[in-house]
Amino acid sequence: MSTVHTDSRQRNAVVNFAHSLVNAMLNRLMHAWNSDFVAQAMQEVVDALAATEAAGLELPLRLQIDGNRLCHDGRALDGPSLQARSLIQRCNDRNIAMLSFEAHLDASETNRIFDLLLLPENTRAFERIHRDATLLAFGIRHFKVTLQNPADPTDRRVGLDDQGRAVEQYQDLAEALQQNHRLAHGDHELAVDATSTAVERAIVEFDEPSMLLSLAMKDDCDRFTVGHSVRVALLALQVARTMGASREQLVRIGCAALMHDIGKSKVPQEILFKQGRLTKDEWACMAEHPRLGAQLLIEQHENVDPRTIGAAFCHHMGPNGGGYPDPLMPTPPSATSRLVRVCDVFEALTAVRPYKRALTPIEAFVVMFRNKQDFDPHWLQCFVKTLGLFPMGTRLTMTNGADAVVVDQTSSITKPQIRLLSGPDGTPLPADHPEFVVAGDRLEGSSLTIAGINLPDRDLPVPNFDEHDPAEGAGHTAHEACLAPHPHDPKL
Amino acid sequence: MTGRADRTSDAREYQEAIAQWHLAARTEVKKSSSLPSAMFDTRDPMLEARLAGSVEVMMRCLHKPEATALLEQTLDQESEIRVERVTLEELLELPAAIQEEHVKLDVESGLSAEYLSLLIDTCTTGDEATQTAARDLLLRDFSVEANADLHHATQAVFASIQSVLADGSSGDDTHERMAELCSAIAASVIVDHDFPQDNS
Repeated sequence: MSTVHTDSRQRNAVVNFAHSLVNAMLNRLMHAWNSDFVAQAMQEVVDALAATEAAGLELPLRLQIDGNRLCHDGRALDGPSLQARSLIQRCNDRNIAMLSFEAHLDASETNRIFDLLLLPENTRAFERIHRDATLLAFGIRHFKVTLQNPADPTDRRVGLDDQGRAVEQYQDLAEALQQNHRLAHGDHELAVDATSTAVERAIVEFDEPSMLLSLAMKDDCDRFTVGHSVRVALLALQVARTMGASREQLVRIGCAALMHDIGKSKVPQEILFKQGRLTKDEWACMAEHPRLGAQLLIEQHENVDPRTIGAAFCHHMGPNGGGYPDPLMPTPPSATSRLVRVCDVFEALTAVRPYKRALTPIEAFVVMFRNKQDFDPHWLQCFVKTLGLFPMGTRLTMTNGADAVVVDQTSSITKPQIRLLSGPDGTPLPADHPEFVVAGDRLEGSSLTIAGINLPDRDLPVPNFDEHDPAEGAGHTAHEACLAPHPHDPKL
Repeated sequence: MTGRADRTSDAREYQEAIAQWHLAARTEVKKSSSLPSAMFDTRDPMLEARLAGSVEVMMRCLHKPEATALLEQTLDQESEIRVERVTLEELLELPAAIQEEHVKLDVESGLSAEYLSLLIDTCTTGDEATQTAARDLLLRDFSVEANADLHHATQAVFASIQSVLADGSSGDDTHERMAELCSAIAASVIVDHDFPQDNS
């Protein structure tokens, strides 16, 4: 087996372990310490640790806390970090620089580690003078912590790149949503303000949500579909911004998209996380989540925007009121709800689930156009035009054999701007000499046409759109199409 | 007594051995199945995970015959893995499908009618606390009167229809306004019928 393959397996094993740790933390926050959900989550941590050893990593496995991210071996684990605000915050509160997990760690011991990390009365448990005694008293023998060195606060940092701020914003969104799901699950009043604050910060900090969106693709810690909801919110913000929505409108649309699945916190977890097919009764229960979500929000009537209530209720309804649930007075969903629906379905199609593989964006667009009666046609068009057939971050293979990544959209949805990653023979290009070109341009005598999309698990060949489409440049960007109508448009 | 203690000890060791064997077997399956992963994953990226799951269930069946039902259930679930197929022809047709005339979208459209409809729905489907909240919102945001009688409601509809017809408008906007009016009437009736009179 090649070294690259081994490294990749080890890296994946560490990422899975970190995801399981984050998931265990979220379970502890949500459920009683002795519940079945918590027990299962703790066992998953133990299994994931064993898997890292099976992948060839030496234990103890060390995870560093670096500012707002989890790291391993000096490399940031962005995916698991995105929903890890609670874990990282508590480690920072306790001045923990590194967590070390040793062989023979068991589920019960893992659960006790979270006692120390979670309970407010244990905030000082890891202080240098009684750290070892505390661990011994709690029967924790296969877990160690390394504390920050106050004399040298930079000794544990691996260096944040420019994504550091984006990670923080993403964590804000995820944490706000997690908090609301926890509150809803426990029949407490929602913290709606936290959601709008997080959305507002994300909007103010980032002119284009695409940086956050590219991060979102790394997040698959799917507790209560938090990752899904954050991605839907970022997609909705991206499209609404392109449509010229004001900042106030963006905050409201972002909140509505972020909270659209809040009703799932009222669906029994054995149904919500069931791996197989739902029975008729289970499905009926699941299909109530839009109504439950809307009712939950209506109860907080003092400070919830009608868009948020509408998106929670209508995100499974078609543009003319089809789908579910079926309200007493059928009314077509509002523009916000119709936008959220488009983003929701796109995200679901492009995400990996236990029962399906992930589609590429271009495949998802085809599937959505196949069922276009289920979507608002204008939003669907604008959505595709905003993202482009090859959204930012898409890995491509060019017809000359070079590898490339999409870095921006152009006026043609079939011709994104790309950065070449390798030459035609597959030789990687130096990182400091990026070659930016537009797909379809000529480079060194040959046309750089997109041949396929590279996925971690497969390659998807794509046709040459130029050869088959005489109306070259068809399908302009959303901004051009929707905000700056063509002067010769006969409808003007 | 000694014999019984030994048997208990043996049983515990046996259970531990089985557990260790389970773990080792799972690891081996994962290792083996990942060797040709590129080949498998081209068609189905979930194959490796499902293979490991199936083998684990089979091992459980060997250990506990009653687990056969679980195996059948698992195999049944596997057949439900959904794979959407998209052809090259469909990809080719996509740019042509995205050539809609230029439309300026109003992100605010339909909001009021949707909100009203959902409040009405909640007045009839929610629990008591939720119904009360929805009713409060109807009173606050739509000035729905709990004590409005049907005669007044009918007059309001009639007047509204006249005003809509008088301004000569038609199309989606008119439809939306009419739907909103009807919803408002329904809200009045629902609030009137579902709640005790409240003059506060």
